[in-house]
Amino acid sequence: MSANNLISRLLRLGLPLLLLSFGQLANAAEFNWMTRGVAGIGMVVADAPKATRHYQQLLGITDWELSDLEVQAGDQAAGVRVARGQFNGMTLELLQPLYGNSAISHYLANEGEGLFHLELAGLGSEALKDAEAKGYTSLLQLADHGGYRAQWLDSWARLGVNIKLRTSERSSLASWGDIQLAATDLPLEATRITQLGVVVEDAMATAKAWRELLGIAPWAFVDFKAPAVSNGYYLGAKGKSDAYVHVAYGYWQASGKKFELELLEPVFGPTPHRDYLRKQGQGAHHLSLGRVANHDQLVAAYVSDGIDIQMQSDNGGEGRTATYLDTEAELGWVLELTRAFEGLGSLPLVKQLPR
Amino acid sequence: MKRVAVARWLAVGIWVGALGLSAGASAAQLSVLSSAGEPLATVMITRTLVHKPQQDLSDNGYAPHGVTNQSAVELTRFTSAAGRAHFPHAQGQRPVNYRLRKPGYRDVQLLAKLEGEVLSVVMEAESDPLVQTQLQPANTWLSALDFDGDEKLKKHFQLNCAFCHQQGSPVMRVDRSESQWLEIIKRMGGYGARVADDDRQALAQHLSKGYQKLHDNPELVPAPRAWDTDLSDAEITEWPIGDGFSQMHDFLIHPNGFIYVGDNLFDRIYEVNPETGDYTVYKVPHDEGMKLGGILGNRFTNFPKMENYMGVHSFAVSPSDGHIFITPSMQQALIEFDPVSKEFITHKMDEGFYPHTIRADENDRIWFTLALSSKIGMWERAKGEFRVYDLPARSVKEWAIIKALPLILSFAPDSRPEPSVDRQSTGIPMPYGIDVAPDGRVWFARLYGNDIGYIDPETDSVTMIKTPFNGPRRLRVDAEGNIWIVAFQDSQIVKYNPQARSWQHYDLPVANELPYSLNVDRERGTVWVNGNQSDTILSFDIATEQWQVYPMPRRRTFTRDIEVAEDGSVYTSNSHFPSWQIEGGQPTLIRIRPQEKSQHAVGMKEPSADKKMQSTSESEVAVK
Repeated sequence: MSANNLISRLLRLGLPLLLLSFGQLANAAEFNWMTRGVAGIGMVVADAPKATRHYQQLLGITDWELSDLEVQAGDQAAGVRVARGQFNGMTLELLQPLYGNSAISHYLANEGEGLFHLELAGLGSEALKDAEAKGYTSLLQLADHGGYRAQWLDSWARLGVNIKLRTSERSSLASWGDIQLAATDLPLEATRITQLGVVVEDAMATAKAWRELLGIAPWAFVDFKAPAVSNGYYLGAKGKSDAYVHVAYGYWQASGKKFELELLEPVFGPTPHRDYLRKQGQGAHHLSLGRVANHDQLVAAYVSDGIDIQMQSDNGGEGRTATYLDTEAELGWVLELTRAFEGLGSLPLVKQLPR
Repeated sequence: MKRVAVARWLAVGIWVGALGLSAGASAAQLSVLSSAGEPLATVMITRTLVHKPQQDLSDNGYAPHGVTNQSAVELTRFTSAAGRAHFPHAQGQRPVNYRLRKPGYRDVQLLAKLEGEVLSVVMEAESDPLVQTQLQPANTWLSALDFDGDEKLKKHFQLNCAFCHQQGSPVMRVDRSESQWLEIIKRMGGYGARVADDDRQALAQHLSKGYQKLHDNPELVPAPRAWDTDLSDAEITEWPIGDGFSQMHDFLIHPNGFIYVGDNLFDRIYEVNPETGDYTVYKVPHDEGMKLGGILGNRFTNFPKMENYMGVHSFAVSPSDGHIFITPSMQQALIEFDPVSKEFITHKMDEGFYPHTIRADENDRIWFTLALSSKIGMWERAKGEFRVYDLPARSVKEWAIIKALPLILSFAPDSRPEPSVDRQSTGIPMPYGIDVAPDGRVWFARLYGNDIGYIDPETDSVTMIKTPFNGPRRLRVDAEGNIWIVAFQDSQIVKYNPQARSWQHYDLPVANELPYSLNVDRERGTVWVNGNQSDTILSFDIATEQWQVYPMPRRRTFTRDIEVAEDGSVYTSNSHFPSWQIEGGQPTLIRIRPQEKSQHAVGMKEPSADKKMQSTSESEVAVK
């Protein structure tokens, strides 16, 4: 092997390795978002105290703390009433606009009640700097409320949900009152919120946006369509499966907890995702209790409480049932739960977006 | 090695070969040749099940309320230029029958017992011109009736005598004397036809003389339009529902993927699952003591059976909750059906008669024409209130008749005074089609009034526009806000541009077709037109102004409604009245897939991820 050949070979092999190393160093220098888990979820509601009763009925949340905040939206101040409750390790914030113009009041006026933000806690101001460097701007700011500070990123268009960054170590808000509701007998002890479902125009583009901002990757893409999907039910139509939703799965994994992100791109056919996209456009659509052992018992309990099944289908094989409950009137979003099956079954994994 | 089994079909002199080849796991392939051995293109092949699914039809010949039956689904395809057609498996149901049809050739019936067969068929040309002419669609006979050059009388005849059924179909064109024709015209008047009193005698003369002339000289009946050569991409599916006494008038493609079809004469809704062919019947309830025919009374006393207390007519779906709204033509009411709970609610109203075509707007207001009283009705769901818009009368006499209508209808049907009928149908301008434009305006047409108009819901104003054509029956608005209207007895479709206030006329590509209705596929820029004299459905590409004509599998197909599905396929229903005139006496729900390249290829948006699977980029990995 001549010296020239050797240099040439080294260059061919080494240069990419060298560049890859620099790339890794560069990545390592980037802010790491995956040090804390998803701390909470925020929902816009018309009347926070009143809305707590729906969360008691459907998720069994009995204890709520009420706070009134003044957030900055650009150069304007806006009042927000917040009801905070805990659901098996996750903080739920019900956000009621009080006065002034803000993204929260606009959301309520334009979309009605619904999912608004995903809260990432304790990441400090470095997270904000990283997001700004990636082109995200501030949607709302809570400068200081007794040592509690937070920023909301304007990420709806790219991620399908807003990101709330709690930049303070303090996690509790000064409260002016409590609501204590009676316990329900719903068998929810073993459940937690495991997934946020986002309806999107383009699953790949949205997955890339999540990867770019938060480093969430890999993403797995699955096609929900017949024959892997069967026994469909939606809008009163039983036995239909002629629909197609292209879905991407990614995971937020930190502090030993895994939180799933599901990006749902309706392709054709009758699905709640198609109708959500038509009515509201891209956005956060549902929360899932995930795969629960007592799925049938829970569904029966909800139905006996007057909650209808919005959609149901077997995904990846008979009995691998996913259920959407028709909770939009009560919660502004859809509650999902599935039977306790493993893996994808016969659902085709069609593509991956790597790290 | 091919093993060829050949059987002779003595009755029709056709050679049929069953080739022992596999055409796929469970598919069949048919190869069609002329007697000269040349491949025959554009042969319509319809596959039917020999053993029909067992159905519970224990409620007066129909499925009881809430009972689900399986329809005997039929599939039609056309041969390619190479004379071949391919059929997917028939849900494992064998044997099946194939009926082959091509104008100018004798029909072939073929029994296929095995899955995966390759069948070779020879079709013989029809040598008897009389037989050939008799089998032609009604429009060819209608076009040969010249009424001695009285074009206006012919159009009046077409408007009123092709209102519900074909003219020139075999049962219509048998030789009859003038007095027999007069008797028929009188009977049809009792059913609701509005032939002018002064025209009845002349009409009877022309019909008697005209059909006799054509029977004596069948060569005067022109040949039908040749079928388009590119039909081999198309697929037509039919779901037989109801029977020869039904009238499957209008229907709805619901956002849940089911099709809801209304039997106008038997107050039943058929909920059809197009994936499986299952259908469930729901009976529309009526008040105790209601009479057949409702407000109009029973006009069909000589029919063997009838259950039209309400008269299920037209369908619209609420954008807010998917509830279905139905016009019951025989009552002063609106019916609401919840497809989840399967419950009916009847909203009664005090004003207006004959709720007809119905549409919903984005604000959950339900708009419908009131055909007999020249009004537009609106049900505002948010308030739970009706609002009625009066449309202007064309004359003082018409105004007086419209005002007197409640009084006239207050009499018992058999003692009701009947105002005289003139060519203009004075007193009954008949608001008919209706649609909501993208800008929220509500457009409507008056069939006898020869005008269209719109309501601006923002101002509640009504604007009328005279049409430069006859017979504006049903209409739709395209994505740009243009109004597409059928010119029924003028055999055209017409586009009205509200901005430019201009009209553009388009002749139909089929002679003497009388288009009942149309719909616009706003996404693909296509106008779909209900033919009902030529046994066809027609599509018109707005950009290229090109027509495509789809022959229907059943002779004597008369359709009134057409809906576009999400994937670009279209649905219609064979609503010939009476239905026993349909070939086989069987009404069907019909789906046309214009291009059957793949199950959902028509206009389907592909996920971006799939597009990129062909050339995977550095950051995406296809999974095998």
